[in-house]
Amino acid sequence: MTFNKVQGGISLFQYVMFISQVQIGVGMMTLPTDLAEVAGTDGWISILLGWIAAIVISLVIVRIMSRQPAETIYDLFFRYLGRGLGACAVLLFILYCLFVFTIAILVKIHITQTWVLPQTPNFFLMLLFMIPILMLVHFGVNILVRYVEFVGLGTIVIIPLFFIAMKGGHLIHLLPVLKEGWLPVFQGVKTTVLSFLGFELAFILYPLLRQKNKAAKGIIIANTITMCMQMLVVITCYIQFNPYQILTYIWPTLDLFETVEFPFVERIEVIFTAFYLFLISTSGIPYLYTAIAGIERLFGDSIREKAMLVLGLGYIVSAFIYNPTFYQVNQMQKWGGNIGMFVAYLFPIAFWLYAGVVDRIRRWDKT
Amino acid sequence: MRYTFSRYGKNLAKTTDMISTDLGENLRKLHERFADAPDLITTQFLMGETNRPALLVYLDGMVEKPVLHQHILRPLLFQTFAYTDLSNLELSLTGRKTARAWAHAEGAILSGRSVLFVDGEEHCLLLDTQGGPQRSVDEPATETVIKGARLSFVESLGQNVSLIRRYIPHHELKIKELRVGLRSRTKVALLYLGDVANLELVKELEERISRITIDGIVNVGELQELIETHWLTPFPQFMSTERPDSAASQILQGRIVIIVDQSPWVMVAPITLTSFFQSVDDYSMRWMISSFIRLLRFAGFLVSLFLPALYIAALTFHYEIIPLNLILSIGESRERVPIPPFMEAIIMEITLEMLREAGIRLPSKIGQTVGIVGGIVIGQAAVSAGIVSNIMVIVVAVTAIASFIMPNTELAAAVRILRFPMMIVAYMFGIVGIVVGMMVLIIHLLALESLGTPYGSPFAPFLASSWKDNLVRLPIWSFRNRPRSIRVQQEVRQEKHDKSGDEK
Repeated sequence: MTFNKVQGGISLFQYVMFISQVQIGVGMMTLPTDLAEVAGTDGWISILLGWIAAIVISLVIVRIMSRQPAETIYDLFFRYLGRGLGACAVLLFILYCLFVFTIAILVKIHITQTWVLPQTPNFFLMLLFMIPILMLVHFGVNILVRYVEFVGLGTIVIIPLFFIAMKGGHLIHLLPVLKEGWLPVFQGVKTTVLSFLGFELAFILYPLLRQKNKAAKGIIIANTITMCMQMLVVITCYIQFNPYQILTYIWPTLDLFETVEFPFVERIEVIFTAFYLFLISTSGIPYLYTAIAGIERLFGDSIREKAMLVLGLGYIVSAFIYNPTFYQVNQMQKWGGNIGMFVAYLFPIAFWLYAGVVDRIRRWDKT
Repeated sequence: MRYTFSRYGKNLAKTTDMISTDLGENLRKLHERFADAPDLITTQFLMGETNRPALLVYLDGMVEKPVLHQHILRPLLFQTFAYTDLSNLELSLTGRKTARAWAHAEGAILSGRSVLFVDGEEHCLLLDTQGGPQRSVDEPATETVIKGARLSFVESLGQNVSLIRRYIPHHELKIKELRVGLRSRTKVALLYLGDVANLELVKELEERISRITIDGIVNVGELQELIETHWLTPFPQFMSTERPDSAASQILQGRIVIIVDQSPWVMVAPITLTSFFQSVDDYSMRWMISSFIRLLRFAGFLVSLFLPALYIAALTFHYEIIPLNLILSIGESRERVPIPPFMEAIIMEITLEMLREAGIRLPSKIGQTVGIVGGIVIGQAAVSAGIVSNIMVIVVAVTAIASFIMPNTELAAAVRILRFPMMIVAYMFGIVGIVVGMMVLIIHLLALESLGTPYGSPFAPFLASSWKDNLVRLPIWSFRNRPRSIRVQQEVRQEKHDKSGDEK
């Protein structure tokens, strides 16, 4: 089951779910605070702007991919950059994917340790989390897509929770709109970048899509779903906490649920955190998969299982040796945002222009 | 044939033997072939007026004696007719064939036919006299329903086929007969609608069945294990049923039914996980009620899988999620219990499984006693002795009941097995362990396939139109299409229904 040999391709619904589920994840936990630091309670406007930016870049990605509908970004690298440079580019993309995956899994472990299992050591959790991850990567993209689809459907269940949490809030916290002008709002857009990251996996997903003509529509829907989800989270947090209070929280989304109580269960945030692992898993695993698909492209099909095992073992062993502190994880997340900015936002535009020029030159040469 | 080259070949080496014209020689050969078979009856007599010596051979108990006497022996002995040759012999019994090779004759005798040898003929006559012990069509034992039919499959393939045929008297109901097992030569039949079912799947099934080179199968479960693709899973990839109405309705939906001779259970393929939550009775009750019951079954599935694990996780790791009043009463009930929740749960669950198994295997009269003894011991004595807590008894009881509401025993068995790993991960990692266990389970279910059909359909791959008969059961007029997951040839199942009635 290598990447190009997928049976039947994937449907539009799966494509939408895949991209939006990769986007919804790590960012959802910290976004309200991160945004409030820069843009105050006007952060929700930044999300709208970030959404527009994400859609524009996504459309550029779709344009790039539609040049060679059957090829992934890796094939395009070789096609447009030649063997040597192409291999370098593939390697860089793999490293990027691994980095994002690392962030996702570190955040996953961190949140679990802080909220649910304070006494379980890092490597234990790493070992536990690696089981479903390696299973999914082993089964291949078909099953991965189905899994993401399933989790995407399951996400609907948590939405009412936010509305329940919103009940005790005050809408007045959102007013006045644009209290400090547009500048902080624009600065806030940069913060939302990490939360919208994920659409760049269209680079690898596009060739599998059954109805290629709907790719642009699909990616817009996916970005919109993500935007709605983030909007819900951010607005709930803003009206539940006052503008000063929110700055004191690290994971405001979880603190939100501390106020929610049901007669049959207290501390709903513990359960929420545990189930939130589903959401993080769908934003981390696709990156690992993409990385392994890249390794496969570089070294051939046979390396796949080996690469998987080596990577899995590597992560587990490194969890024995290195325990990042909260500050370090946070720092990594910031780098992730910056690197993601380059890979997902600037690189597609540059590559699009470059590919256009190369194609035109090649056509000239032929005639 | 392929198997003559295998190591079973020596059994079939005599296939080239031909029947001789001499009766004595034939009789000697017969006794040689059927040595140590005291149930082989050989009757030598002179035919009617022609006075030709003849030999009738059959296996006692495999034939229908009255038929044999009335329609074969009597005419042969007393009727006067001019004998020209064997194939023109006028017997009142139809369905005759002749054979020249011993292998054929032997096969015929073993399958319950009787064989007539006539002196001077190099053929023998194979007469359809199959009988043998047979059970009458009875009420289903395990899949009981309220409003459904009261018939269940029996142990003969022919009768089972006719039970289904009576539901679908249509020429497109195709029956493909195959043989499995070099010694048992068990008949296996595939039933499907020729213009509806996915013929690729039929071909795939046929190929898989013809690849089997086992010496014999006696049950449908064996065949299932020989043709399934995933062996490392507790979940069945074929559904078995003992109800002809349920099998017929599956055929009408475009699925394939596999009947194995001598087995009162038939297999259905391809299926999805949600198929196990459907029962025939759902379609005879009001749709709201069936929908409610179906949702209840899904809840039962989750409860029986996760409840003991949640109990362990909540009590060992996250007692903060339990509301204060409840934790107080749990604490009170656990006050005298010295063992940790995990051990408590494991002990109780294993006891429950033992009780259940004992109840099934014992004769029904003793089986009831087991239930009563178990109930008293667990419900009363164990609690007052301080070995388990009241809460645990409730958890175990709810788990058991939840697993009983699943209509399919195979799925219920899978859940029973999976409960234990869930309890272990809950003991090790609390609710995080349960969530990861859930992930692994979901991934596993999504990766499973039944005859190439995704097991997780219609949830993933998402097929919205199938939800109305999978998650709930909406009115039957709304099922205009067949299930999409099995990729049938004819999608449409019924035309748009006009419900206005007399008010027009």
